[in-house]
Amino acid sequence: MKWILTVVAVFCAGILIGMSDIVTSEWYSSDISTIILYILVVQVGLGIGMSGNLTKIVKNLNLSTLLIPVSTVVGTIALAAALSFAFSDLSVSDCMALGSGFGYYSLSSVLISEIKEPLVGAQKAAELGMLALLANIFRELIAIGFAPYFKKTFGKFATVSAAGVTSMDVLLPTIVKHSGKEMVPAALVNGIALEIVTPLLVCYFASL
Amino acid sequence: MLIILSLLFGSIAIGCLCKNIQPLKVFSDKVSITILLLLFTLGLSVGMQDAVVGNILNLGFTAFAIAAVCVAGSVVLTGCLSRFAERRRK
Repeated sequence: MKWILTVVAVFCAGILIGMSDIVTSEWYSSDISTIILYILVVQVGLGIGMSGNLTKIVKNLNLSTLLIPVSTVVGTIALAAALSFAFSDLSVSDCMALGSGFGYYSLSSVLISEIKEPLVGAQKAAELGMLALLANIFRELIAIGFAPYFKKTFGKFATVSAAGVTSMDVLLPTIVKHSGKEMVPAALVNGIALEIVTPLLVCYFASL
Repeated sequence: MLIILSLLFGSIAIGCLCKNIQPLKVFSDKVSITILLLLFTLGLSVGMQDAVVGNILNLGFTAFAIAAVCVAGSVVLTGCLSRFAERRRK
């Protein structure tokens, strides 16, 4: 929770400074955020490679543990695509890119705004980046708040699926509390698999 | 997109090969600082667009709808598939 508050505070500070005339558009170029994004992608990649999680995922690979990330991805993207018909200003691929964050709000929001800027312009790209940030923060909050209901109605795997990428870190204690300790391997595999899949899907759908 | 994916896969490979190199570990551990810097720049670009700032409530509602629908899609499909798998096992 402390981390989410920090994220929201830093993002709001950026908005406030952007609204004031402290930073002008000539002074601030989108190349700065592109360079920082490349640094972030390298850090995420190094983190995945150095953690040894890839060997863990291969060792824990079986049909039931694979079922959760696959159904999370398919269920999320299918309904995100269906939702696009309710919003006239969002295309099917936009909604699929926004849904593909799976709770990874930091990376997905920046990826979407960076990839979209040359395609749709700065304003629409900023709007989509903000939507991705908020939608993925909300996903985490819904997964925390509704965990007991998900377990009761859809079974013990549902708490892991709702958590998305955060099933391996932020939401792991919530998952253990409501679905039991036996869910830990499935939660880790789900989180790691989605952490790898998120940048691929976001990049793909955002570039359509 | 190609640059991002190449960087991702390249750095995963480097991470697997250089697990014990301390400076690389320290660099990858500083990911939260980079995330905050990026979100600050995203905030800056949002703040510079008056139309986006003026539409902030609408965006919040849309974001909540997307989050709720995405969570619903994943829990319903996971629930159905896990029940189906359990029945087949029995």
